[in-house]
Amino acid sequence: MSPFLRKLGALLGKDAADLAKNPTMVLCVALPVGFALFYRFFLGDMDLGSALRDESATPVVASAVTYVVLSMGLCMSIGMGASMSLVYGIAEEKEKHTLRTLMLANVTANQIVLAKGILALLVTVATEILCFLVSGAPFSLFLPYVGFGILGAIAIILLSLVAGLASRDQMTAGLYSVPILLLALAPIFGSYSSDISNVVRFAPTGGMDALLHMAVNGTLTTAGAMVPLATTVVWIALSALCFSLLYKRLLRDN
Amino acid sequence: MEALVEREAVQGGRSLHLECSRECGRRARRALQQAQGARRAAYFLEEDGGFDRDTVRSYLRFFARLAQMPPAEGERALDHFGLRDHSRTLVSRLSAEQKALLAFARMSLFSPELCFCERPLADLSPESRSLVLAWIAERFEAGTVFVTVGQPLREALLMPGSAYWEEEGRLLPAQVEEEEPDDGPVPDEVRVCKIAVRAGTATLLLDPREIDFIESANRVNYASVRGELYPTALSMDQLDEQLSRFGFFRCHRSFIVNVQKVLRVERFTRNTFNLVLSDANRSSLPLSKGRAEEMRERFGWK
Repeated sequence: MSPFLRKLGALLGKDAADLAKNPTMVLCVALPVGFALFYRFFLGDMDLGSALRDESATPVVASAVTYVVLSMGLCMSIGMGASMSLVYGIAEEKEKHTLRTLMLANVTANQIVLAKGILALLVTVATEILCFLVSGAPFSLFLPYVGFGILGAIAIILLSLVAGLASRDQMTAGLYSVPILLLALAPIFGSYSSDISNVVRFAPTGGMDALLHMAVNGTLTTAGAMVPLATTVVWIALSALCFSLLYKRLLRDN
Repeated sequence: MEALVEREAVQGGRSLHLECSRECGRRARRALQQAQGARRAAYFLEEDGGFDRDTVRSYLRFFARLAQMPPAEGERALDHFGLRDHSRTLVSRLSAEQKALLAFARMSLFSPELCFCERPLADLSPESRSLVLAWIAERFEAGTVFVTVGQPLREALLMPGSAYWEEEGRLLPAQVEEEEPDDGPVPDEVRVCKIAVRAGTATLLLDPREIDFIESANRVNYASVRGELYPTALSMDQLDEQLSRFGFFRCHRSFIVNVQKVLRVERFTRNTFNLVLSDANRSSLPLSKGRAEEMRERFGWK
């Protein structure tokens, strides 16, 4: 194994162990799963949910409930798992000079950032899968759900890396993480009105949410997927540009 | 300062120990970082922190992986720096001294060619100081170049290499060349002798037997009594002349030690000797190589 990969493996292991030992981070990961479970049974207690248990319930009602639970699971997994854990995690390391110790121990900035990004993606995907398992959604949606979840998480992870590196300490991280969290959760607010929905579909996770909506309704077509996919790709490109312009300067300040 | 670090440490491969301010220390670190190139380097900074959720063992195993060493190296470092009993302790619960030892254990895993330390001996007890000085000497003999920064000059002089001290932004070499000894051994002769020192606005007259050692730093001479330093207007030569009759010995150009207070003599490299005192701080003083021979002869030590 090359030295680069060995160091990357060591950093991944250390970050994963750190995350598992940090109660705040564990809560960030557990919260979306808890919400997915809550929403499933909360809706199940409503008349709408009763209709779901009835075999004669219309497929439209069933898919609407499934969409709400899955959409919320994806948005919260990305918002909490990717953005919160990354921004607070990096800020804590900056505050305690852990990043500097690593960089003075012959570890490159690329290795540190790559390890954090990969772990955030893995944690997000794991949380998304747990949300799916507790949602009661049909397994035919599993692969598209995970695929859309990964697509939607990339831009948020890149933006969270920038916000984490820009944070001087955990107090500043609290401030910087809010807009990213709101961006990640934006599609949830879209269900309140069509006006909000028209705006949030252009959010970083808006494309992902639209694709999920189509997949749940069984209306996913290549032509219909073009705009949501383009929205997601544009956000990924913009986030990557922002990240590549800022991250070296931000690491130098550490 | 930057030029000194680059010329002496990076190009010349000579270890430097700087008695200087924190700002000067930061500049020295940046200069070393910029000039280190592809050399393996290890850094120990005062502000090093974090890794609070790691145990001592998991911390060293992690850095052993980064250094591409087997986990057994982490275990060896645990033993070498006396951390075996704390292997399961969280890093956040270690004392300042244990954290310093852990930092040295971490650096040892990288077998560094260049090593930068901020106040390396500051938080260490005499036993830990011996462990660290032994490691520094071992690495020095193996070719590692050390750059240390901090205070006091006494600590800088304990380590192998050249010591410098800062005055008005300039770094001046702390002279260590030998002077010709004066006359032969001075006969034991009891005379009334008091050393005048300042303590705030008062002048204290110290009995030589109370003094642990005399230290010269930044052009001021100090008498160390029960762990406190008192400035005196007398020159080192005057003090040497007066105190030698009371069992004091000029162990270094900048130090005169009360030999009665010497607990042990430590030797880390062929040219590095330290005297460990039994005073309140268990201080360590440098002993020049030439003066070590003279001391042995004068006091009849084998």
